[in-house]
Amino acid sequence: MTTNEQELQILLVEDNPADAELTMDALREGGLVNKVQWVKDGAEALDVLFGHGTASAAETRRLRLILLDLRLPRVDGIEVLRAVRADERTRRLPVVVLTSSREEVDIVRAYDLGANSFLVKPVESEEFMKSVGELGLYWMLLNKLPGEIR
Amino acid sequence: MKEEILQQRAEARRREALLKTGALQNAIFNSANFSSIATDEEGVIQIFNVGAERMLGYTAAEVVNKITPADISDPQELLERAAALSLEFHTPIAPGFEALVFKASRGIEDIYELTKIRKDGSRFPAVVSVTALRDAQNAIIGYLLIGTDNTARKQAEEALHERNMEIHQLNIKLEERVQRRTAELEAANQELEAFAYSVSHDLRSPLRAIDGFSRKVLMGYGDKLDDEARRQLQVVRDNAQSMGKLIDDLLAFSRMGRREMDLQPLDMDAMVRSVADELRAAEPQRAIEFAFSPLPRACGDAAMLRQVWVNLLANAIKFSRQRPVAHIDVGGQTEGGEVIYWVKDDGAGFDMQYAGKLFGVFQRLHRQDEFEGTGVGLAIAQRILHRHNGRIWGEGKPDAGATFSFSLPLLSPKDPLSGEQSS
Repeated sequence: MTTNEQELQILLVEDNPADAELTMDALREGGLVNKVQWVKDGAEALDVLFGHGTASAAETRRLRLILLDLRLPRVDGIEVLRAVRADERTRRLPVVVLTSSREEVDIVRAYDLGANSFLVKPVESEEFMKSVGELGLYWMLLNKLPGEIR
Repeated sequence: MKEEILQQRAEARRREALLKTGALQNAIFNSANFSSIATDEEGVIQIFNVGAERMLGYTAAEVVNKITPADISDPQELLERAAALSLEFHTPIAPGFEALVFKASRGIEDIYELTKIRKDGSRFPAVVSVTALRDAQNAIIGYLLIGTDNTARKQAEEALHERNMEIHQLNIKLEERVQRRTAELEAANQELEAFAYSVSHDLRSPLRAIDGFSRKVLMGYGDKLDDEARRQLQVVRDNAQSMGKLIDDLLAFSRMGRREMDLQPLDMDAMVRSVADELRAAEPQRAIEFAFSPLPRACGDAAMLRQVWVNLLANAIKFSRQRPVAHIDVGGQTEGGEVIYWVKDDGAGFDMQYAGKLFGVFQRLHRQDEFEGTGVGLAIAQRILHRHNGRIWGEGKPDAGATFSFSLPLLSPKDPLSGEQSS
């Protein structure tokens, strides 16, 4: 593994600290060593992605996956998704919606706005650990982004 | 001699005919059902029959050679009639007798409605038909006005009109009520949707935390806990999970009531077989014998009716698991205006005295440690069938199996289902 690959990151946008902690546990149990950056609302997510200054995640291209909750304070997940898809620098970035919602409208809206995947967080924790762990492995290790196949 | 007889006979026939004509004329003029008033060419009444006397309250002697029919007509209506005729014929017509007979004097057939005034001053609507009477040279020598009392018909007309207005008013009120109710229902539906949305978001997260962190404690500190502490934590987890299932099932139940329906003809044979295969595959260790009779086709929402089959077959499989080999019969037939389907098992059955609780939400007839479940499956099935204007019912006997049947109306896909078509 090169230094560059180790720096690849996951941006976790989740307002519920318990969910965030369990999600990070699950990624770790799933075997991922990648850095996860956790932000608690949509506004903070937009700051990290497009914040002023040279260190914004979109600029440095270190980001490989966004795990996005939908119901967030201030700027909700749908708005974040819209902004990510509207920006040239992030429009191909995989976004997995990770939410408690089982509502059809949310699924349709998320896909309409270009979400790559939609996972309803299971209540049962074994199932939760397994789903989130596998999801992390798939998107971080198996999925290929443009320019990664040589 | 012979000629004389013939002449006498002819004379007799003539006299007979005359008598007959006279009798007819008498009958006409003495009829009490319509008034016959004959005037001279100036309008002065010459003949005033029994009917006229009865209708107007005057005796013939009081009017003959004294007044014209205009004198016993509503003056305002005469004015209006004269004005209208003046306009129509481009000639000034006086609002008196002339207005009553002008058309007839021109040889135009004329029947009109007019308010007549009785001797006692009371009024009644009359329908009057006017004919000009002419001599051999075709000169007008008078007029014949035949009238009928239109009161009864007028009253009936007015009553009918009033009734129609009433019905119209009621319809408007009903329409308003339907609109108000619809608005209320829509508002309630939106509230329910908001509620379901919020439940689905907000209630599941804390449960996930309860279960997830209990698991973390068990995994991270399990060695520091004794058996009883671990058991108790497991109880916490089990209950968080079962509450999660309850919430999911409740949301599924609510979704079934809100979903839009897509009606189409359905091959129930294929549908039930694929459901049975799926459910059987989920329990490979069980010995289950299905017996399918040919099923009539139905019309309905495919996803929803599939859910009905899933719930009924899953129940049949669940409640027959104490049998070494479970037998499940699936059948159907067309009966009257509906199609009826049934699923029969030889499982645990139930006591018919609790049959009323079968389809209630969260109602269960078995203990959780006998058969697991949330008690929503049959409620969902019933909700789906009600939305299809169908019915569902169950028969059972403890330890002797249960039969669940449901009916759907015979419909073509174009027939609108009354009631809740859209959510």
